[in-house]
Amino acid sequence: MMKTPNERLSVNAYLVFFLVHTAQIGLGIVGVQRVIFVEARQDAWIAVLISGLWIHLIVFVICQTLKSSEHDNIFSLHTFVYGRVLGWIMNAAVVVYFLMAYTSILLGYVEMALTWMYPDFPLWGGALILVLLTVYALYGGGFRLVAGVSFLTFFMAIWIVVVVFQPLKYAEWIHLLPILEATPKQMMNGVLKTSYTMLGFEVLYIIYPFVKEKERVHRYAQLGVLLTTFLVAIVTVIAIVFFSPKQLDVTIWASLSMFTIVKFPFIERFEYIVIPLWLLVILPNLLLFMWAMTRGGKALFHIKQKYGLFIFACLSFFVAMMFEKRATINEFIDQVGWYGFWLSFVYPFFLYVFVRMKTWAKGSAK
Amino acid sequence: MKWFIVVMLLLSGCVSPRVLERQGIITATGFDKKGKMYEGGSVMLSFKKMGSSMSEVIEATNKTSKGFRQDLEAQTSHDLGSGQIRVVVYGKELAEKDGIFGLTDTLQRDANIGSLVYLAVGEPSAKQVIKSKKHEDTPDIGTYLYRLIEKNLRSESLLAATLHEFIHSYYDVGKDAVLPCLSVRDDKPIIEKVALFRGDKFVGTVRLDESFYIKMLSSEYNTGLKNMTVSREDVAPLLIKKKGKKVNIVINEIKTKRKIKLISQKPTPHFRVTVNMQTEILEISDKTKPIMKDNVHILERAIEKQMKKEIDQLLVKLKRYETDPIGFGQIYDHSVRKLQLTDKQWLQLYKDARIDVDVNVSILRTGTID
Repeated sequence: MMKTPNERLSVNAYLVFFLVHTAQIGLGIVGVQRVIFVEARQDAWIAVLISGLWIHLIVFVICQTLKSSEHDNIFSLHTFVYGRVLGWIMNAAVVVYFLMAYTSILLGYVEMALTWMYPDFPLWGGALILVLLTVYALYGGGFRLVAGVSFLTFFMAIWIVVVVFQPLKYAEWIHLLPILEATPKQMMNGVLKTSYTMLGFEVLYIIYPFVKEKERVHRYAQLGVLLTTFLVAIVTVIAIVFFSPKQLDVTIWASLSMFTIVKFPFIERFEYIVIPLWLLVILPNLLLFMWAMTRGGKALFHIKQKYGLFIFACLSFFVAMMFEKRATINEFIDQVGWYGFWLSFVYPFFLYVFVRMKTWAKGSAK
Repeated sequence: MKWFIVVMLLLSGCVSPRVLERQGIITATGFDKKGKMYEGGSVMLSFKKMGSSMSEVIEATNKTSKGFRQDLEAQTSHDLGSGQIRVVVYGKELAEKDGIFGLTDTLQRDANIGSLVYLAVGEPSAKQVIKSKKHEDTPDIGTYLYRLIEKNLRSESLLAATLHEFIHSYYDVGKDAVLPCLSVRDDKPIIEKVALFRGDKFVGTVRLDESFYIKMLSSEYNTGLKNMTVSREDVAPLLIKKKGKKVNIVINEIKTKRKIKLISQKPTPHFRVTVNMQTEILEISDKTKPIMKDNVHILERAIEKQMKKEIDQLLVKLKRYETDPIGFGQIYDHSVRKLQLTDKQWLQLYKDARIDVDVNVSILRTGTID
């Protein structure tokens, strides 16, 4: 069982807002519009809101789970609920999930940067730079640095929101009509497809022990989720009114394509600012997920996080190298979304029930 | 930290540099049809180490637009860059027979090219537009065309010209694209007409004064000027002389808001269009009595009547071309639940669609005199 880290390693509760929000916002928001739109058509934005509401509920459940026993992170909760062997397997599943998520971000970002900016740069080169960056940051910093990075990058990137409204010049609001035409099934599929973009709040399971004021974690986590839902809903609405339906069906990075409209007197092609800047947006993702992996490594193999870092970095780099084509990368990202959906959108409820049952059983046994 | 900096420095050399003097920057391209091949020309702008830039038109003929690009590369010592393409002109024949979507696809796919590139139809051919020598004070014809279209968009005599808008309308069911139509007069490209499309095929043109109404009906109007001719009887009470020719009125600072409603679907779609317009009088060709509060409505009604007439004529013309740039089909599609309208279905419905137009003009000011 892991010990709760001491005062020196922990962070203030308000940082949970930035951690949860930056863990959620990442690569997904660049192209989420198409994947939801394909399912729920003009009601895609409603699917985003439903998914957001759902996440608010999950965050509540996660915080309840973490509060309800003396085990304050997912790895020790698993060992507590399932016992040694099964718990180990479940923990391994969580680590695999973070590995997949990390690699998908790595691949997705490099792929995007190569298509838009450096067509003659090799994929492995881009991936290597990002992996090295992660290792460099985490080797020296640890969790407090991750929190600092998400705090800083939040403010460095949030101003893009102002620019997002510029494409409204070409908006055709009629595209939003008729509202609620999607069947419940279409809507459900739409919600399912938002999962990859909305994922990230599950890091709560891991950062929880590192927060000083436990009773305020819940409030800040909810706020973080609220902002994410709001932003994703906005970019979805804007994409629906900006593109015509069939056009959105074929636009891979809808948010980026919308930025091609943005023009300033001093910079003609704004997307060339956005793409490098997006590195700042995905950086907290990369760091958090890698850090979560090393925590998992510690729980699974009892290796120091320092060594775990190198092992997992190499591992994710090699996994990334297995992909070449966009089609396979997309498929992979879809799978991560699917896996993440079950793990983060559904599983927390079960875990909560299991933990309550186990605590109850233990209490009555005494 | 040290090794990190070293890695950064080494990797930054990986992306190939581009030296400005060795770049040939394409500012405009034109495509024409020649048998089964594409014939085209590109305006290449290059910079000298000292002094000003120079432009040159290079031409090639090939089966595909990318092959065309390769042929161009063979003709110049510069590296051609397409990141600064401002205007792409398609010959009328090409646009009419083959359609231009296949050619715009390359523009979209290429991340170097922004979606604010202007597209235009060249009459009689793109080549003549691209090769024309007169381009005022701009360094090359591409920049001239760009500024020409930009100015007309700003003054709202054109309604759409960007790649984004073209693709948007192309993909949108029940709305057809329009593009500026460049014609050559005295070896200088000018905009006289607006080209209408059905899908990606050119079907005809309307004059700029007609495209005013397309713009008015399809979106909002915010500035601009309009010249109209009303019959003498309609404004008779205002005039001092009772006899003469028709009266010309120029209105300015036009602001419109439009509302299109689908009233009924069956048996044929029935739309009601309401346009509210606020404007100022800039010029009246005849001597009038002072225009006061109690007689301004005469003028307003006369303008309304004339506009209605012209809009009805335009709608007939658009129906004859089987094109719907205003987007009635779009409104139909989005007003009816559980409907997946196709372009073909809409074309059938559009032919018999009934469109009632209501124009409400209010004259806010009459210039410095009454």
